Amino acid sequence: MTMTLIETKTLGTAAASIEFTSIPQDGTDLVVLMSLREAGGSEADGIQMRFNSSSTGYSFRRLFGAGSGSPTSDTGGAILWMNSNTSTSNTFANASVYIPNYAGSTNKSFSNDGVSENNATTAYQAIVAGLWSNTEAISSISFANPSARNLVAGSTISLYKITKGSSGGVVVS
Amino acid sequence: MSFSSIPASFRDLVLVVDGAATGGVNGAILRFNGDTGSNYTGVDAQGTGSSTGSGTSSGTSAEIGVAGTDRFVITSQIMDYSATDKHKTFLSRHSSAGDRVRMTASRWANTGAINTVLFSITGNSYIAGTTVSLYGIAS
Repeated sequence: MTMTLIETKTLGTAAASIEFTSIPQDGTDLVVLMSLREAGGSEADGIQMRFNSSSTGYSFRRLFGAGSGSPTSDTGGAILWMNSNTSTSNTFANASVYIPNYAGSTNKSFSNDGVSENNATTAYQAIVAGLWSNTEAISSISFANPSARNLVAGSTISLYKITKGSSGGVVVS
Repeated sequence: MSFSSIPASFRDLVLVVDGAATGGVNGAILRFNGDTGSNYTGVDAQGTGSSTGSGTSSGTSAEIGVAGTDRFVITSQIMDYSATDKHKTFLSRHSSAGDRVRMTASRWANTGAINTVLFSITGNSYIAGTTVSLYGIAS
């Protein structure tokens, strides 16, 4: 297994979205790591991930906690709750996404873990199951707030590819 | 799917399953080194999209997910798999947008180095195109 950085994008100024295009098709799986904060909104705002500029075919199951009360499960479509201007200064939310077989010809399942950071009671932690019901190979991924609020400067997303190595002598049966 | 003769040269192992079952609602399980003793325990939390739950398990294999006909991805990270001075712990995630999301912490009560990993769906089969990959994370 080799995990190789494809690209890191860090905003020098606030922007509405971050996008990776022309993703190499020679990997097996993709891993996305994010550190994000938005300009405005609330702790309950999320960021949406889109493949190949497609806005259809997405479904989700989420389990999340908000810092108090019982956890909740729903079928919402945000993959991460972001830190906003109402959260502790200089804190960014963190998330990861694992996308197996991104260059294959089956529908694309993915797994997401995320947490917002806040020095207060309200902060979100979530695990998300996602599916893009589309058999296209993933060649681009974009991230944007569905309410069109900007991501602040310093927001960073890194895209990695995981490539299978040799069997190393492992026997598969 | 079984992976055997696993070299002891890595730090951790990561199993990634992408696919679905041919029918039913089945346990997705791991078993190590052919051990069929009651040496596996776990605790999990899950959300179905309308309800939440948590549970514990113990038995002759480690249940790391519930595999049905909805497409899923399962990842399981097995820490210090080649150590000979500790029981083996592993963290798993089961993500199925059409069924549930689940996280499981498990333990194999054995200090032996893991050289075989069996992944199985109890009582059913994988659909064609299902992939099961085992990766090693270098020290």
